[in-house]
Amino acid sequence: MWSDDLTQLAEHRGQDLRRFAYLLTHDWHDADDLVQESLLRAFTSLRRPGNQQDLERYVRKTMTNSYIDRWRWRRRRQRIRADAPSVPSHEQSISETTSMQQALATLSPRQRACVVLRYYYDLSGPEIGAELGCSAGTVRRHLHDALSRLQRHLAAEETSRDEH
Amino acid sequence: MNIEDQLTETLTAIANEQPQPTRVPVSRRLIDQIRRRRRLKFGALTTVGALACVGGSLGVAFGFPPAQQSPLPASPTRSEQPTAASPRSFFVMPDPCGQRVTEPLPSIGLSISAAGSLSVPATTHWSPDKLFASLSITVTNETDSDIGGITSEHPYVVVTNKAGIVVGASSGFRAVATSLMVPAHGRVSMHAPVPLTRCNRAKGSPPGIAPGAYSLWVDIDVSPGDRSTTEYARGGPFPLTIR
Repeated sequence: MWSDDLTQLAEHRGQDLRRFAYLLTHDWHDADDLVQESLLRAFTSLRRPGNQQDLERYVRKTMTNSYIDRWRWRRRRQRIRADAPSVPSHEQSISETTSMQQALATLSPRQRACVVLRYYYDLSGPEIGAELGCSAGTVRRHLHDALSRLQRHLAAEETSRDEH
Repeated sequence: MNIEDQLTETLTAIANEQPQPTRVPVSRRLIDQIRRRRRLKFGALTTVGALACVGGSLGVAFGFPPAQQSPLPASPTRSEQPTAASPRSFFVMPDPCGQRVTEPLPSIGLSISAAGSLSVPATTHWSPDKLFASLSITVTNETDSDIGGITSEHPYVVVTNKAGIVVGASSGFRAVATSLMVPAHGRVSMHAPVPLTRCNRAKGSPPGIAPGAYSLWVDIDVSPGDRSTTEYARGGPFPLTIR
């Protein structure tokens, strides 16, 4: 029964789903909305229940698509808002993390999804392609573009720090 | 440190930020919502339709109104506003979620005004401050059985498309996941004509709703504080004009 699957999935894998949503949105409220929406979408369309791993993958895929569909315009506003907190300059490691977080916020939703799946979930190109519904070549291009953009952003930031 | 290691480290740091709360809530509301959409999607409407009772002389059926129900009824005047006891405004049916209605809705005194506001008076058998209610509005016309709808859970407004997929929300999706706690003698107002224009955000649906006369149907789910049962009713048709 799908409702049992839903309950079990939320109970056992809910935290991971929230974490994935948070990695995409970087906002807990948005992440919670994204999880709820994805559960609703996924379990509405689900025809045959699979094992929990398949279900989780399916919900995660729905989540990625929902994020790309609906969060794109929001992210543009967030980019302007620059909501990452400022950090003390002597905290180099924290500074690096924050710079990277700011840099991540400049990625397109699809690029960000690729980066999260590649560098957090350690998925291969074809696996990411299966999640996002595109080819491995497209994933490679997204990753390449994302890394280039991150590098440019970090380099620009370093330059401006040196100037100050 | 190269950029790839930095990325992994940053993503791990982000993922380890402590989420509060850590659980993903699966509310009864969410399950009901999925159940209803699955029914729409996989075509079990006929079963529900067969269960529907026909109320009053208007013969309002659950599901989409058949073509012979048009033309639209005249706009009710103030004195004709539907009351809880009126079969014109309500009929009681087995809960589409598979549960039986515990008692006829009119006896708990739900009523919808022609303007679309729902009145939930205190009841004797349910804790009056712990009624959960959700409302949805479906707009129908003769040619397209379901051209759009609104689900409203104060203070949010959520818009669903033809397939029941949420396509817009006034301020966040959590309105669907949670339920409105209706205070004793509470009143929930819906402002139908305004958010209806949001329906054009639905993928593949016609851009907006064409001006004209439509029927407005209001669905109500009410459950007690522990959400052990759900009562369901549909009120309408209320005339609605899109200008």
